[in-house]
Amino acid sequence: MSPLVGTVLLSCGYIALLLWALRTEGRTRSGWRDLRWWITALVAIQLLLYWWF
Amino acid sequence: MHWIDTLVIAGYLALTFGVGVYLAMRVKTSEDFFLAGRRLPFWAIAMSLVVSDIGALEMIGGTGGAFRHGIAQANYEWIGCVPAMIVGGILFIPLFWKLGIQSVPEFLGTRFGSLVRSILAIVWVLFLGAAVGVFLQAAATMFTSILGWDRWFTILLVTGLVSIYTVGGGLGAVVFTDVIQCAVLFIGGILLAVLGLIEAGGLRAVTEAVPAQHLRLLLSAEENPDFPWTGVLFGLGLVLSPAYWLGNQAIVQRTLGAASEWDAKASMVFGAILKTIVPLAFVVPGILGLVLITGAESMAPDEVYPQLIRQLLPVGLRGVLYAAFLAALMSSVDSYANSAATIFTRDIYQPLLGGRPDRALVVGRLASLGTIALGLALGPLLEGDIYETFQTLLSFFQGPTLVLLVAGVLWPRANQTGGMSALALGIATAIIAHWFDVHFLHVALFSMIAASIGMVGGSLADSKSRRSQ
Repeated sequence: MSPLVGTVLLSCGYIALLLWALRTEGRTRSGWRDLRWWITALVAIQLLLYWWF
Repeated sequence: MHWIDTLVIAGYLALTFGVGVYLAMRVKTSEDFFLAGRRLPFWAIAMSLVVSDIGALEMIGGTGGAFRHGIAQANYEWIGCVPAMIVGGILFIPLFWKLGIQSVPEFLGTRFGSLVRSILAIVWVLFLGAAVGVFLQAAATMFTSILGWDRWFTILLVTGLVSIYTVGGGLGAVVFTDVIQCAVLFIGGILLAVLGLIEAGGLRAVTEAVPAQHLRLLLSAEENPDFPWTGVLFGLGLVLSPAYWLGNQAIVQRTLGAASEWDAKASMVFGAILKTIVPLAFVVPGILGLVLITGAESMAPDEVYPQLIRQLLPVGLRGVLYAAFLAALMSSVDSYANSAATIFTRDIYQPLLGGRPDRALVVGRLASLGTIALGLALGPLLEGDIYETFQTLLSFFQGPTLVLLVAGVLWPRANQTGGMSALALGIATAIIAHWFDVHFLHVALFSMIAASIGMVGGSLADSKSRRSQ
């Protein structure tokens, strides 16, 4: 199977993970302590890396 | 070695020792010892998590892996850490923290009974003690080759220093000395990568010089049998990584010492951010080795990192990198000793041997010392095939342990029969798959699937079992 399939599957997994994490975490803190921003940035960087390379 | 490098190493060791001893003087109760009094901030836990995961051998081996396989080596830091750390941070760690448990077997015992707790506790204590021995022996071999240090001088120096602050200061001393070790590790690794990139003529020059396959993260089994993307995604990402980040006592224990539920969560997410940066320090230098080292084709992968240090760094900065090697070794030894002591005290001494809770602090300290002594004694016996066999045996427990954790947290109907069935079926499947030489990443996946079937089948079949709390 082509590694492209892997990249697509990984992307779907990360997006599902992000949506679940945002919903589960909710707005528990504001400003820089809001973990939803941290997780969104992390997932965005990972997607960028796996599509870039 | 130049005297300035020796001075840098001595400075690092003195700082670590001073911080460790200062924190050791503040330990008064068993909760101070095992959970750092539940006062740890998120950033310290995150740095400790990351540095404990990187041993001296991983620094050399990771760079060597990148030299051979390219950026695909970074999968161990990205797919192998980030998703599991997000899930852990949002779901598992806050739950463990709220329950106030001190060990992973303790949680599994509350869900699946004392037999499961005892089996996993004994397996983990033995593995952690043996791992300490292997870390010491293998790192001593490395230091002898790179620095010219005497083998037993290295072992006794590291165990002596680590014993004093780990036995005295417990988790707090382990975590805050890890913070220093993490800083040294990142500064050294990133410095090497940046100087290497400048020497190679920049990013564009490097990407043009190395084979195209070295710049791809996901590869098919035909392109690289060591990194089949199916194994990376499903074996590493879905099984081994969550089993490690959610089920390894050395990892979970730090988060349980967090000052608040938010700190516990944030430590895992911030740790994942640090993990995103780690390949810059260990994978990029490996790829640079192909460009910068003359005669790289015939070089052994494990020689690449030491060679780059000698080639790129001036006197003084080399000392920082050598200190980073020591930091990586010490952080692994202190973490494993502290975790083995926690499991021994909480899951073996008190429930199995009928120990008194008021002696937990003394027993924990003795168990930390005992783990390091066990490592010293077992180390010479565990080199080569014996340790590989031992690691293979532990890997048989990874898939089933993950199933126990996930079912324990998410499925109220999971019960003791399901837990035992999951362990038995998962381990049996792993043994059979290993027997047929299945790739270890795929073994983990098959073992987890079998354990899941065992968990569901066993739990549903035993309809009379009361629902666990």
